[in-house]
Amino acid sequence: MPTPRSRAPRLVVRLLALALLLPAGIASAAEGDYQPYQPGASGEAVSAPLFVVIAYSAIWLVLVGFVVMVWRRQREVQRELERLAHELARSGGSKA
Amino acid sequence: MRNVGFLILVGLCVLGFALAPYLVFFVAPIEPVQGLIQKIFYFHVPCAWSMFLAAIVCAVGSVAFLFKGRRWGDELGSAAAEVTVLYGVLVLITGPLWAKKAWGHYWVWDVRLTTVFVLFLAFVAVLLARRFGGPARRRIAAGLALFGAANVPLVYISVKLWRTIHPETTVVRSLPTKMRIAFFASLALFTALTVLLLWIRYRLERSRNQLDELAVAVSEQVEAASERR
Repeated sequence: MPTPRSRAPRLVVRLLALALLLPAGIASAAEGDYQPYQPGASGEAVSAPLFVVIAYSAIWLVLVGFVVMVWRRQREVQRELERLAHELARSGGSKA
Repeated sequence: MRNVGFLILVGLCVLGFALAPYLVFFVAPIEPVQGLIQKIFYFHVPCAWSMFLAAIVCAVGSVAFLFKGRRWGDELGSAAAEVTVLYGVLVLITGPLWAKKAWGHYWVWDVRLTTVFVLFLAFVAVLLARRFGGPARRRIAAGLALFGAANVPLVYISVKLWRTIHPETTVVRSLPTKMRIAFFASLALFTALTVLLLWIRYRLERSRNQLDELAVAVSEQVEAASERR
């Protein structure tokens, strides 16, 4: 069974590939049907309120997700710190 | 005293998250040319500003670590690199949404957009170097962070140096009063939030280093005990 550590490099490679290929794909698609910029002439009905909601929600989700992630990592490290300090004290260490 | 400062910062952020959206959506008027989509501006620009701020903090930490060997520099650099990538993600989400409505495309290889993308990738590289860089990972990451941060002034002046469809930085000065109040409230909120995020992330980095030191101390104790036996 792959461990989270062994899965990490594969995930990183996939994310990098996505990061590099996505803009290139968008660019080639845009070059194919390039037209000089005309405001409001994109031919698509873009919903401004929907886009504002998506942008605002994304900001909230990403920030809250980051805070939760840091909090969980901090809790994990704190727990491990307490366990090691306890172990060190038990074995008669003076550094704890 | 530290806890008091931390709590004040948290309080400011909570207040800001209540006040800034109110000012943006209910006080600032709708821009007549772009319409409602211009509201993204109030979050997109502060996100970009926070990205620059975190990148500069990362560079300061990296210089302190590389040239003075300060451990806090390494810890601050690590924390700030992650916060830079976080805001980079937000800039690269909110910007294309605004661009789709304003320019008709989610992405164009405009010089401002491209330099921001390069800045984002540089800090992703910093995080990857820290994770997979082996024994010299801290120094490699610090060096990469300096390259990344060197891009910040270029991003800022890119709209002045080259022809670009991205709005110039002078647009803030031309805003009507109500729009300007909403913008600066949002900017203040994101600045406080950046400091808070850097603080909690830096604290995590310190705890991790303490954990590493303690792990070494425990293994030394165990070794010494087994030798005595």
